[in-house]
Amino acid sequence: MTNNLDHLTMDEKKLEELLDIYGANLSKMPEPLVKEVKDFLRYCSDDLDGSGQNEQRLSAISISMKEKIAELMEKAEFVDQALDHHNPLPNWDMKTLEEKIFAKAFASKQESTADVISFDDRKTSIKKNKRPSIVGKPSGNNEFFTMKSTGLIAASLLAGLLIGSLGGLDHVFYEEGSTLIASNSLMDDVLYLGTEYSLETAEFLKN
Amino acid sequence: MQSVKRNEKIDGVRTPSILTNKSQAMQSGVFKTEQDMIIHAQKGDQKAFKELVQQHLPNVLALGFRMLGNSTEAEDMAQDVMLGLWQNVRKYDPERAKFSTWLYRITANRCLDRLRKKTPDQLPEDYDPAIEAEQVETIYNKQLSKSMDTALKTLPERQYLALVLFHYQGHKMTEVAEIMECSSEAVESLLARARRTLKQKLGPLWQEFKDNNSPQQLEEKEGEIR
Repeated sequence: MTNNLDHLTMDEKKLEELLDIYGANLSKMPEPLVKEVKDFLRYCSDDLDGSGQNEQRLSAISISMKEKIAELMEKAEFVDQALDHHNPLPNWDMKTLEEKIFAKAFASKQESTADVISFDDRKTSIKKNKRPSIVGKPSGNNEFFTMKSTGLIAASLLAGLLIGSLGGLDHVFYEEGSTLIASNSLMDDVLYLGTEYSLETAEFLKN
Repeated sequence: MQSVKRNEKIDGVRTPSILTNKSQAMQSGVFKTEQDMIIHAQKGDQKAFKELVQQHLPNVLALGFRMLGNSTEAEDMAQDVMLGLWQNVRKYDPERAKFSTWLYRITANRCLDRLRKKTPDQLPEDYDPAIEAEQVETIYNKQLSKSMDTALKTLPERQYLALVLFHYQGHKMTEVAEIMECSSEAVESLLARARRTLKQKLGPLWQEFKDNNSPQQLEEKEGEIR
């Protein structure tokens, strides 16, 4: 038997799966699927409308399959209709309900979320928060950046000096084992950036 | 027995009436866009908040009613959500989600919290949502509504939430996924499992409906009318 449904990706099983997801309301299905389902249903019904115009197609689709597809559609429609008839929405008095909500809401306070910035406020808030002197300047050249980096360099330098001096101090201590020398060495280190001077000074002091 | 009206418009777009409320607030002309409204509400503008509430309250209520199955509870929950919205609207970040997605996510989570706290005996035994709504006219529809109610109660809460958001609230698959904070594939799976369960539970009723509407039965009914 020739299967004339081969050109369709849709079949009975796939149809059932789709009906289970979307129901019988085809408008809820994504467009490409709607076309496939419609083609499939039309194909089946054309074959089996009893006109006998296309015997080859008639032989391809059995009566039982037609019945099964019809049943699938009917069941899906039935579930849709049962859902539609279930719990119709009451007629709420919206105005009264809204008044209740507004009364409660406006008696309460909005949560303070100063850090929450949204939409276009985001840009304007950032501008507002910047000091006027730096707005519009490229970030690499602005005053704020310069000050910050200057502070950073100064802090690093100080830390370097301290570490260097301690290095020198240790060295001198090791060399001399003397508190006096070490003390002088520390002074040198601070003054001469912890370089060879510390050793030289230590040597000098030692001698 | 009167049958359920057949869905004649299978290809037609079923627009949930609840969605027609969208953009009503913008029509007032005070705020040009919802984004504008949100910015003002974040700055404490009460008028902006009022319009946000007017725009979203119907959907929040509907979601609450579907999830909680009770209009009073839905109202309470909606009030909580809207009060929370006023107090926390500044926390909303547009870069993370659409406002409606954010709000419905909060609503869905509030509903799930309430459902988890609720014990089954909190509902009166004779509670009948069909009667409460006073919109279901026929015995058959009542029976259908009751069977559906029973079937829906057997669904795990996330399957039910997916169904409510997709079927009743009319959200797209991707929106449901965003609200539920999962992938679209996961939502598809939840929906498929939910509908399969419903199909199975409603099977006997469907059979009855089918038998009562077989071509033979319809001919008999027509004969009776003549």
